[in-house]
This record gives sequence, C-alpha cells and structure tokens, in this order.
Amino acid sequence: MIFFKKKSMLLVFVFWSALTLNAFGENIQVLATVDRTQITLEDSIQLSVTIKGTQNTPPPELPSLPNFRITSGGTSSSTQIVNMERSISITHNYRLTPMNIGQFKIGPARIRANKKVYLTQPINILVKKSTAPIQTGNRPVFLEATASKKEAYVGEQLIYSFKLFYRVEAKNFDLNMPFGASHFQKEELGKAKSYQSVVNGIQYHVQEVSVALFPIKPGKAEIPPATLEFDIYHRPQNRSNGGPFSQFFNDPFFSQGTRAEHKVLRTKPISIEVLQLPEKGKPEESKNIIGNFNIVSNLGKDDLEVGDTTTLTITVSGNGNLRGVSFPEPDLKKLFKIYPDQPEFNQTVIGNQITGKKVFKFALVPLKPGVVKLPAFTLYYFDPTIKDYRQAQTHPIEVNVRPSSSQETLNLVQSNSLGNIIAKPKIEILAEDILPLHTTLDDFNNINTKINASTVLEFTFPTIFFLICAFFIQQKKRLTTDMAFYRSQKAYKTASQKLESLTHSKNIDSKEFASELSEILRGYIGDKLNMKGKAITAAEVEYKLKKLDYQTNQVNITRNLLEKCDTLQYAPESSENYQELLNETQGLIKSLEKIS
Amino acid sequence: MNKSIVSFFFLFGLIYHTPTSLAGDFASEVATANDLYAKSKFQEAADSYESLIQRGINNGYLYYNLGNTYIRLGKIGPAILNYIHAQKLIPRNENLQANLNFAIQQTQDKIPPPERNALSTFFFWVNDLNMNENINLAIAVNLIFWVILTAWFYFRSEFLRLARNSFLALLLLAFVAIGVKLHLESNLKIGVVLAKKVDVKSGFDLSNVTLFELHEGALVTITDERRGWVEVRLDPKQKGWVPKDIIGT
Repeated sequence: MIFFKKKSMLLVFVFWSALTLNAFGENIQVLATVDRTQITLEDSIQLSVTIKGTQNTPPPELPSLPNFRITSGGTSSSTQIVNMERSISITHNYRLTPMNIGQFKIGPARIRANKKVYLTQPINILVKKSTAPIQTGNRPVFLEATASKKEAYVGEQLIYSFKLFYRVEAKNFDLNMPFGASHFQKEELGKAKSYQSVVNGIQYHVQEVSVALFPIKPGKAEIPPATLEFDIYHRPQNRSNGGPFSQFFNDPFFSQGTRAEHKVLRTKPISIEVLQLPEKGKPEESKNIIGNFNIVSNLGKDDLEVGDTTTLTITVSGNGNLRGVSFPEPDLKKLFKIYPDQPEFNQTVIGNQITGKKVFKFALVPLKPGVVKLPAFTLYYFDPTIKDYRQAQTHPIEVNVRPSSSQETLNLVQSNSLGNIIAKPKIEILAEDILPLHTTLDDFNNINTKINASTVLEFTFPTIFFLICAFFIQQKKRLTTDMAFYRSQKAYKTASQKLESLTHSKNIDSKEFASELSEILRGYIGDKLNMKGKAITAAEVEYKLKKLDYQTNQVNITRNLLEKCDTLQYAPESSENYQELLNETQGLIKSLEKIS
Repeated sequence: MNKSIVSFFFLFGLIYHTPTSLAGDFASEVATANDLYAKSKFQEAADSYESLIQRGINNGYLYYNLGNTYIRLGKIGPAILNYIHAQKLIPRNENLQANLNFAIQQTQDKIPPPERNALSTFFFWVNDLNMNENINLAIAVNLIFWVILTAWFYFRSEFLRLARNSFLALLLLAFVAIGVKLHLESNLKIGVVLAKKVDVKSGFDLSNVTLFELHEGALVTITDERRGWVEVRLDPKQKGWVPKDIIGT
C-alpha cells in the first residue's frame, strides 16, 4: 500500500516537473492592450499588461501619463495545460481616466523578468469631447452643479449644489467635489438627499449634495468642476422579470450577461463675483458679520448682594457667518468683577440655510452696593438682502446690589470659589523655540550596546550560584534525613578525633590500647558502610570492602590491622610499637576516606 | 566561610559592574562644542559634535545637542534625523520629545513619527527603555528570580513559591521584550528626507511615475532596498521609491 502511495506521488511529481519545465522553457512575452482606442472625456480605458511565460515578476513600470489618471484594476493570472504543454500568464489591469482631450500615446511599459527588461508596444489613444446629446433630458445620466448666487459679498453664505440625474442602473459612485479652498470656506449641510424628479417628461433618480460656501476674499472666484466616476450596468433585455427572487438575482453578481461601463462626468466650473463689503455707512465697530441676526440678553439674578454671583447671557441667533460674532467684556466701570466663559456655538441646517445660535456668558460678581444699569450690547452686521448695514441691540438691564449680609471681606483674588463658571485664563503663545542644549558633562558617556560575553556571564552567574547553593542545601537536608549518609559523612571526623585522643592518653596498657584502636577502626568502617561497627569481624570487613570495589591492597591492610589489634589484645607487646600502629591506622583511614 | 562570602561578593561586583567610558575622555570636546553653540558658532559646533560621532561615540545627549545645532542652522532634515538617533538612546527625555515635535512642526509635510503597532502597544515599556535598559531589566529580573528560587529551595514557603512563579513570568516577559525591541529596531527602520524635495516614484527608477512629493524632514518608514533605492512608506496606502542617498537613517 505504501509502495503504491509512493509510486503515485512520484508520478505526480514527474508529471508536474515536466509541466513546470515546459513552462520555464517558454519565452517570456509581454503585451499591452486597451479595450478601445477612441474615447470621450466621459469614458475610461482599461489598459491590460499581459506577461506570458512567467507569473513571478514585479508589477510593470508604467510610462509617465500626465494626461490620464491611473487607478489599479487588480491582476489576474491564468494557467493552461493543453497536450501536456503548460502555459502561464499574468495580467495587470489599470483604468486610465482622461484628463484632457487630444491624441495621446501610451508609451511602452517596462517589465523586468529573468534579469531582462521587456517593453510593450506603444498605443495611440484619441480622447474627444463628449458626443452625448445636448438635450440633458434625453441622456441616461447627467450632472448639474449650481450656486445659489453668481454675486456675493465676502462672508456671505452661498449654497453650492451638486445633482446627479440617472435613469439607468448605476453603482460605485466616486464624487470629487472641490470647492476652491483659496477663495471659500466650506460648511457641510448634512448628508446627500435622494429623490425622484421629472425632466422633459422623463423620470430620473436624483442624488443631491449641497455645501455652504463663504467667500473669504473679494474678486473673481471660481468653483472648480466636480468629477463623478461611476459604473453603469447594461443588462441583456431577454431576462424574465417574474418570480419572487428576480430582484435578488438581478444583482450584477449573478448576472452573467451584465456589462459594466465605467463613466466619468464633469460639471462646468462656476464663476462667482465676490464683492467687498461697502465702506459707505460701515460702522467702526463692524466686524464683517454678514447675514440676518437677532440678539437677546438676560441676567440670572437682578437683585443680589455684594459678593454674590450672577450670570449675564447674550444670545445671538440668525442666518450668516455667526461663527465670527464676538463681544468684548462689558465696561461695568469696576462695579463688577467679570469672568467671561467660552462662547457656545450651535449650528443647524434648515432647508439649505445654515442657522445658528451663539451664546456668550459672563459671570458677574458685584463689588459695590447700589442700583446699576448694565449697558446694552450691540451687534453691527451687513444685511445682503437690503445691501446695507444694520444693528441689533439688547435692552439695558437694571441690577439692584445690596450690601453683603455677612461681614466677611470679599477676597477678590480667590477665584476658585466661583467654581466652573469662571473660564480659565488663556496664556498667549508669543513664539516657539527649541529647548536648550544638554550641558551635564557626566551624562556624555559612550554607550555600547550591551550584547557581549559579559552579558552572557551576567545572565548565567545566578544560575551557577543557584546550582552551588542547591548542592549544599541538598547535602544539608540529606544529613538530617539520611542516617547512613550522616554516618558516612561524619565517620572520618569522629575517627580522627578518637585517634587524637588515644595518642595523648597516658598510662594505658597494650591490651586497652589495642581494644581502643580496634574499636576506632571498626567504628569508622561501620559508619562508612552503615553497619554496627563494634560487632563486625575482620572477615566481614574484607567481604564488604571488596564488594564496594576498594583496592585489594587496602582491603588486605585493613584486615591485617584488625587482626593485629585482636592479637595485641591477648598478647601484649611493648609500648614502643603503639605509635607505629597508630600511624598505620591513621594512614589507612586517610586512604579509605580518599576513595569513598 | 567568611573568605568565601567576601570572594562571592567580589565576584558579584566584578560581574555586575558596568564599565563605561569616562565622560572625561571626550568631555572637554563636548564642552568646547557647547561653548561654540553658546557663541552662535553653530556650524563649528555641528562639526565638533559630528567629529565625535564619527569617532564612534554613541550618546543620546550628543545626538540631541547636534539636533539642536542643526535646528539653529536651519537644517531641519539632519536635525530630525539626530533627534531620532537620540530617541533610541534616551527615549524618556522630555526636552528631546519637545524639540522633535518642534522640528516636525517646522517641516512642510508635518509627518509625525510612526505610531506604535500592536506589538509595541502590548509591550508598552519597550519603547520607553533603550536596548541596554531592556537588557539590564532582564538581568535584574533574572538575578532576583534565581535568588528567590534558591531561597524557595531552602525554605519551601507558599510566599516564596508565589514569588518564584511571578518572577519566572516576569523573566520570560523581559526576554520576549528584548526580542520585541530587537525586532522593532531591525524592522521598523525610520528614515528622514534630507533633500529639500524628493519625488516618490512608483518603482526604483527615475523614469517611473511620481506618486507624491516629500519635503525635507519628512519621516518615513523604510521597508525595502534595491539598487540604490529605498522603498518608503507613510501608511499602508502611500508608499513608493526614492534614491537611498537622500534618506538619512
């Protein structure tokens, strides 16, 4: 089974290799094609650059095309196998939208493949004016751009409307609606409106977008042409229109016969004559406010004590460039402490007119008792309907200020007591500059990037520290839990101490000395081998030591020494041999300790 | 035993002592350059700072001072480039940030430095520390972890177990942060336009279509390099090729 599996995989590999080799063997061919060579300004061309023989190339480098706007249309690749011949290709699509009329040449596109440069052939394109009928009502799609006035004053509101009329299926709208930012300020007037309209007896769908424009300088101003790009879908006429799912399947996604046509429509530029506001009759206080306004003022409390707070509110409402309206602090001849608040501005769009309301608030704190008349506020503005200046004025308000009922002195500098009513003072920025040089010379160290052997050592040192500590901790723990280990570890020390004590003991006879020495030696071996040392025989010691791989020489010396001690206990000798025996025992213990 | 402890601490000090070149080695030259700046001899000051950098001195404040000098000389591109170099070494310096913002405001394109990506948002401290600080942080966490592990090995308390696990997590995080920092420094390569104006082409050849223009001091991300040209990117939609020699990195 595995054999067959391997065989079939090999076959697939050989087959694929043959196809691939064929494909690689092909010459690379490049081809540039367009869907048409004559278009109008309303159309666009699809430019396709096809590379045959490979699919692994960078995108083509297109020539400079200043008379067209280029947008990428994506890529498509194809692989075909005919009679064991595999051919591959990749096509890069671009949409070229003409910007001007005339005869243009699309130069060769450059394709780099297999370290060679391939060039496509140049293509000539003729761009003509629109050939559509002049009668707008007969056209399936047309645009209309209008301005509410051809003549306006600086600051006067204009309505610039863009309307799309269509009676065919159109989608993928892309509207570019410049307004001439050097001549106008723009205010949005909400979302696009959609409705039906009848033009020359034909019903159209209409999409309308409007913006408010405010001229900013006098002279001739031009609203540039708006451009709309979209796709028109042409459907085959023989489709049945019945059935509950017809609308769903009429979507271009399901319609195989549907043809999309990309269109570009442009409006004509609109000229506006922007007039300077007349100097004649212009009040000195006028601030180029233009429109039609009302002004109202009211006071929170008109009867209050010294040190109390009240709010003076001035509301300006109407149509026009309300955003520019401002009032200075009222001159209240040091009778009140005044804290101005940030003005609130609300704007609404009614029809195609911007109306708004701007509210100014001043917190007033009376400083002296008495009856005070707050002055009227006047707004001077230019009314374009009567082409003259007008003024709107509030009524003066009388305030009765009583002496303070509390004897506390008013702290005029402690403004925090007024809470949120008081606006934060603004700091005027006069200029900006860089912050100074860094002059702390100690900070000028040469910093080398810290990835070197020292870094490795710094990382590994704690690990080594841990391993050493862990070893000792483990040893210490074992000494408290493992008796055999404890005896083995302490054996040499105990034996050495006992031998030392025996060396210095006086008036000891040979029998007693031999017994002590034998006990020390047996005790040491017993501790090392975890046995009861006192009862151990020389033969048992020999057997155990041999089993634990001690050297034969050492085993023999141990056995001889033990036997000598036994003999000495029963056949005492002169004390002159004691020292020799002691030295022999010490030497033996040391040699045994080294091995263990 | 006492000898062992003394030896241990001596070894510890030896390993964890960071040798740095003394400021005195070139402090006098920095002081001279600072004096030239104070006397409004900006070109000479810039030359002095540049010569220190050419000699391999790597210091954030040196780049900062050089950036300030270029601002005074009206060379916004080199100024921003040096501030960007300084930012890698002294990332938390407020004066540097203020001056970089000021310099960007002086450019025509006013392109802010690239925003943090998801990776550097998660490892939020990585951009606030330079590479050495990131490594030192990992070394410190590593040391604490092993000391706690040793203590836990001896005492086996619940508190030490919790501390051991916490520092193990921190240690892993610190290691990953170093990786992230290395990744960001090698992949997020910021370049600054040094020429007054440059055409950004659709390919690495002058015959290609000009997609858009950039001006001196514009901050770009370099994403590719081929045959003396670099691919620069402002955002995923705006990218193109410019000659390499007019982009400072």
